[in-house]
Amino acid sequence: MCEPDEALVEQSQQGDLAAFEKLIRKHQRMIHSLTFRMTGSMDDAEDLSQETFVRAYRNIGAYRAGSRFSTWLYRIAINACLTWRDRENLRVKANRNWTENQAIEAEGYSSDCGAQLNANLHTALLKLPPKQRAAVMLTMYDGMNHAEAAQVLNCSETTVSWRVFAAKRKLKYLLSLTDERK
Amino acid sequence: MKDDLKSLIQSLHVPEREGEYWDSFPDQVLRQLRRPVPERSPEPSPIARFGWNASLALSCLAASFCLWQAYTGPVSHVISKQQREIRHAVLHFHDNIGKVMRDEHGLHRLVEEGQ
Repeated sequence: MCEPDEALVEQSQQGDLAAFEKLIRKHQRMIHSLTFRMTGSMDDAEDLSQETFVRAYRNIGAYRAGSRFSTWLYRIAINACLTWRDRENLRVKANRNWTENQAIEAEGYSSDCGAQLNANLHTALLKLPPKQRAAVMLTMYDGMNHAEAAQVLNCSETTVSWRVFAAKRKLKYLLSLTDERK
Repeated sequence: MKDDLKSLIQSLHVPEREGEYWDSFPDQVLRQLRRPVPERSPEPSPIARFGWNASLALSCLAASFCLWQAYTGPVSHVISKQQREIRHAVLHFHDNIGKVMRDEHGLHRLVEEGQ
């Protein structure tokens, strides 16, 4: 039976690594998906996911039961992604690799133009400033409302709304450019 | 297509890892957690940092003042001593024609009786 997060967190706060391992198993896919969407690189996503859980365990004493554990974990992951500066130059390379891989995949399934669209969209998303990208991912991909996203991003709802608006405008522009090239 | 940007983003494909990866992932994290964290000396408080900076600045100022004194002090002292001596000689021999001469042995008065 699946134990609730709160109980596992409480045990983890007392130094129970087995309980924390259960928390990792519950949330690892969600965090990995988020870090991948933020970086566009599988390797960086893996590093950042690990970093997220390590930071979470080391700061688990600071977690308060008022908010959901997943929201708290999301915040740590987003912060890890936003401070992901040293490897930022690799982003360009990862972006290029991603596009190439997707193009090859698309050629393999010539009837499937979805893969190309997917690659274009991901390329466009990676061109957004990280904070705008995070706002888009949380609200449009993870389905959070602006208040929840504001909690994760540690900013006001108005800021989230503005970032989403700016990101959408830029995405539309970038996707229109790829449409024109076809 | 532009209007359903949200559904487009929601359909974004995230490459799936194999089950083996997910099985070993928690172990990788736990391995990192078991690794000893390098000890870091605690950051000094802002007040302590300010105290250090202020005392350093004061020390520099004091050192600069001492150096300035060491270079300029003796010279100004000699000049003022000589001025005093000249004034004294002029006052003392106001009725006479006095000459004050300075050579390597110091200050000398050459006195001539007034006519």
